[in-house]
Amino acid sequence: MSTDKKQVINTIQDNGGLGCVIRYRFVKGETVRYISHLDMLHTFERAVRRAHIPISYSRGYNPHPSLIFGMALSLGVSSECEAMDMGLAEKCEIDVTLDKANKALPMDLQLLDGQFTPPKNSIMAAVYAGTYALLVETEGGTAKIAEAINKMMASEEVIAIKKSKDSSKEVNIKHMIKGLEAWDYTGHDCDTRIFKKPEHPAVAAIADAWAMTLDREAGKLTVIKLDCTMGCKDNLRPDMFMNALSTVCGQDVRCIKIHKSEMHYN
Amino acid sequence: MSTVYLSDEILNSVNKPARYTGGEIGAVYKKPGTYDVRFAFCFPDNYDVGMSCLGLRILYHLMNEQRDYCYCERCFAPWPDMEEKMRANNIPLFSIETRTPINEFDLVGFTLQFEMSFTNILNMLDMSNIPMFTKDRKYGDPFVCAGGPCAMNPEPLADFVDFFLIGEGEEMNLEMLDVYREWKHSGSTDRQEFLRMVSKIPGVYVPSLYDVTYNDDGTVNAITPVDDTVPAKVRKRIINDLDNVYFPKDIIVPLTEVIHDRIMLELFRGCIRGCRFCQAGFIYRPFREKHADTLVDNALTLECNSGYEEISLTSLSTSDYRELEPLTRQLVDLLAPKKVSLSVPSLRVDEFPDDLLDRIESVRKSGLTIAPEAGTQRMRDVINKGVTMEDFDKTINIAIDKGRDRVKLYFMIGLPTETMEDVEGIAQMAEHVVDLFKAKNRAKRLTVSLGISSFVPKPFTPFQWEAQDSAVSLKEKQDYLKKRLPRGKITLSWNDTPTSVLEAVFARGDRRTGDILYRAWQKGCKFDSWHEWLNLEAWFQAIEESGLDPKFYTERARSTDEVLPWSVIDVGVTEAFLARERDRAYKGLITKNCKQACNMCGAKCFDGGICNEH
Repeated sequence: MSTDKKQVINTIQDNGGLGCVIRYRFVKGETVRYISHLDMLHTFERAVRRAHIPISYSRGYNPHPSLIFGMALSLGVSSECEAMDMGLAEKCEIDVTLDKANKALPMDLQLLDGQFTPPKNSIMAAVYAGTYALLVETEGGTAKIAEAINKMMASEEVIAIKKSKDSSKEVNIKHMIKGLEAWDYTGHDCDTRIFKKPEHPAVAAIADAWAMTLDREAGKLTVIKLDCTMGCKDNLRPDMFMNALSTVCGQDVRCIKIHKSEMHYN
Repeated sequence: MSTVYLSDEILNSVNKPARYTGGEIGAVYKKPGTYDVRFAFCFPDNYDVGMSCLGLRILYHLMNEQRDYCYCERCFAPWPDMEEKMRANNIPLFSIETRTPINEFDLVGFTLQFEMSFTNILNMLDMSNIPMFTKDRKYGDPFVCAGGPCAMNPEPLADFVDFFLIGEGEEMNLEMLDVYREWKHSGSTDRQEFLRMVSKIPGVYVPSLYDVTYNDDGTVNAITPVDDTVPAKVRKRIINDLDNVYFPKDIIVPLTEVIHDRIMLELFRGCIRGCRFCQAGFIYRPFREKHADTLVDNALTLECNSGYEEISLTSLSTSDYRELEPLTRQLVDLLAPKKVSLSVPSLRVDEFPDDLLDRIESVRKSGLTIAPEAGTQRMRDVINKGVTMEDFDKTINIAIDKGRDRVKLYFMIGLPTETMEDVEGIAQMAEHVVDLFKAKNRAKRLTVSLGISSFVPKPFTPFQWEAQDSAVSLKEKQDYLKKRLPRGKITLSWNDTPTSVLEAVFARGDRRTGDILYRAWQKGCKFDSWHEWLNLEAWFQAIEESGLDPKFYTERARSTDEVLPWSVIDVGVTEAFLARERDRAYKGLITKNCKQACNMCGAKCFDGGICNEH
């Protein structure tokens, strides 16, 4: 059994079965999208302390608060659909924990909603798919991108270069791409197509940052909506998609912003 | 007011982009544009170092909370990779909170924590498009001010900084903001008028209101105020009542790792010890404590509001705090259930109850650290460091009994009157530690790390007149220790000799040394305290072009009747006292600490703290 699972089960058994696990969705917004996965964990730990939420701790010499996150988001990518499981030492009302935690969290790191989760699956394993919105720019604009997207959808093979520390290899990412769409970016008019909750302040701040690119970045901007697989098994990283796109276009496609708008899990 | 646009392309291409994006818990986000005074608090090193500075954390909240007409934002020196991108894209230096260009602020304040950060100040001014020299600034440019420990000798920066705030800032900074607002509301466009106004605040030093003349031999002849409305000497400010002084209820909790990432509780200011090499031991006098009740209250408030999992007691020598034991006991009792740990650095373990020791994080985790500073009793007496071999052995034996196997020892070389015998003494002390462990059969996993630093004479110490040991001699002593202590259980580390020499030039430099700084900056010097960025060749060229002799500032012994460049500043401690202490050093005489007896150092003029107990 994974340590994560064990921790969740411990939580439930603590306090004579009074504990529970809540799975939250949260926004990782404009000012916090450059903090690493580990730093985000610390930030949540401290926020939970500030909020006096009765979180449960792992046993042992060095107790860790029971917080488990889904897949690490690439640095610089914003998201309105991150997931986190929190183990609580006692039964709490979800709305109360949301309210307390959000007051204690940075303004751009905010919980959206939560639900009680049986401790049988860890969030890591549960994620399987999602959606990214990419703001890009290339010579020839949206027409050029649309052409490349059609080519990708029609072909059997889409090759991306997967870079790791000391090697880079070619991989076929076609099976991970589930859907592609592209349109001209015209600022806030596009918000409802890009963001799921554009009315949430932290999401609105991301939308503002997108809109700010309009008169600051050179060239005509295009939005690409990418539905793809995510999770432990077939995880399509947006940077891999971007380099495949440049290859198919036969020219450099600049990536200006990336936002993760949806994530699905079992 | 404008806003800087930072593209993802830039942020994605630099190391640790979270240094530039803000958004932390506790950071103050006010609406820009509606404030009479905008203050840019600038730290001349990177975010990781700057956010570890307690002074910044206090003054930032002080100005934002206590003056609602003021918005104080932070700014740090961009790491060179970021600087390169910013310059290539014509992006000026900006504030973290609102990304406002720094030259659009009313006031730009630098904190001076160490001499080797001075070139970063020049670089930050340049990146902000603020005229580098005070004489070139015009109406509409920000006023540049500076404070912090290195402001005690402000002269090397006198050409670049409009005014200095000398001493503790909790009251002075607010008075300064009020005066600025008054000047701004008056509709005046005369910068000089504001500088005149601000110079009337006790503790404020405006270098352009003083003329410096020199003797033929290069020493200072006189530092004279331009007229009699300007104070002849500027006395540092202190806060006498630390229990009632402003202390923030919120602190910024960085989202990315910084060096000191914990709650820092200041037990007291000043130091009773008077170690003769230590500038902090004199410039912060008198010794003033906070009550334990106040500290417990501060600790609980900050723990609650920050969510930090560690609290560290900070002060110059923690063990001198009167109520240390009850305070520590109370804190660990209150904090343990919250899973918050307590660190007590520079704790003298031989004077501390055993059960409590085991509950202190810094003791549990990091082994044992002792700073004997010198290798022989003679040398320790010269520097007035009251550590005897008996104390030392006792402490080491406690460490052995507690099962520690890492011992860190800090020493200095190049101290006045030092001989090779004293250097040899350092080696012997390290070997002695190994012997003590061997005697108890516990030396198997022992490591003794020696940190050897080179002594730099500092203003306002009994050694302020001393010649610095020459680079050649320092190198010889390092080499001796290297040869003398072959690798094994004992490991050695030291700081670069050239860095100590540069530090010494600016520690006791006069106004003319500003020219070296300017030339070094022009040649690309920055982040000089970072080994990978220190460009010695550029520094040597800068010194040569300036026509100044570095040895005049480093290896020259001053006579006690010389006018010292920092004599315009009054820290309370008198030159007469420092000279007496210097004589005692030569005679190897220990001076009693402030708790044992008053040595009439002069700090009594502040009418506070321990001075009122005698």
